Amino acid sequence: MLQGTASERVRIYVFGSALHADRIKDVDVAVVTDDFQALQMIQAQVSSDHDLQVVDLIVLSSSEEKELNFLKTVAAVEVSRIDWTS
Amino acid sequence: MSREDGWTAAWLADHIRHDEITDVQVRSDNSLLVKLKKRPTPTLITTTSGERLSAADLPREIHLAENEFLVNIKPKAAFLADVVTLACQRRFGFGGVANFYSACGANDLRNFLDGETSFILQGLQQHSAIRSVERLTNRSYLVHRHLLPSVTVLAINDYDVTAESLRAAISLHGKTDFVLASNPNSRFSQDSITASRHVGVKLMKWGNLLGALQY
Repeated sequence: MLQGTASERVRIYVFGSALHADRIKDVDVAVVTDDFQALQMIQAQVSSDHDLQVVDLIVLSSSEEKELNFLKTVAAVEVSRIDWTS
Repeated sequence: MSREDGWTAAWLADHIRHDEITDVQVRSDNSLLVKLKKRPTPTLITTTSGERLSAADLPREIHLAENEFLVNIKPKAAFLADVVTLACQRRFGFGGVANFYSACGANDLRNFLDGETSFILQGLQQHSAIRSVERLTNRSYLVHRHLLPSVTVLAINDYDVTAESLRAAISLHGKTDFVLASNPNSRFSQDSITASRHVGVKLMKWGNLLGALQY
């Protein structure tokens, strides 16, 4: 479970072949956040956990997400919404 | 002493799923014997997991003549120039799990080169302004031009190029003159354009890059 101290909401989505295929290649994960500290914590966790090492992260600020409409374009599914509390 | 990536062979053996693979045996902490449908004997592959791999970081199995492929579990990793050179010399393919599956599908692990890299190398080498191309990493190219200074090109294959994907790619592969969005459908976010100005990098799609290399 991700834990943090920043006071920023982080939204995590899965998209791509991991939603449909039964074979693991990599797992595309989109992280939408404006909190660099929260992002660093997520990246550190992905790096250290063996089962998360197949995760291919794309990170978007909330303004980038709005501009690119990325989540809708790739039909991403929200898997976690974290309200980081101090 | 055990290696930090000593878990990778067992992990990959547990997770491999491919129509062309009929059996997998763990040979050591960092190597597997993989039985492919089209081959009479098992194939040796070496496993690791790292973000930025140099030849010195690789497991000793990489030097075995029977080794045909280096699988790096972490996606978007940088394979540095000495790994590219070693792979050429020792004749093994390298890449992530998806690349390994493609190589198994083609039944050619030793000579595996992913489609994107092959396209970029061919396109650059055939360019009239270009004398030669060196691979600095698996995604970065040093382009020597006939009458102009040499330049570096870093290819990013993300769905879309964001400020963070630009920052992460430069951090892994090193400073560059041009960033090529090698996925033809990808877009540059405004934040990535702003970030590129701050770091002095030009963002390009393929057609624009070919034009820019003439000047």
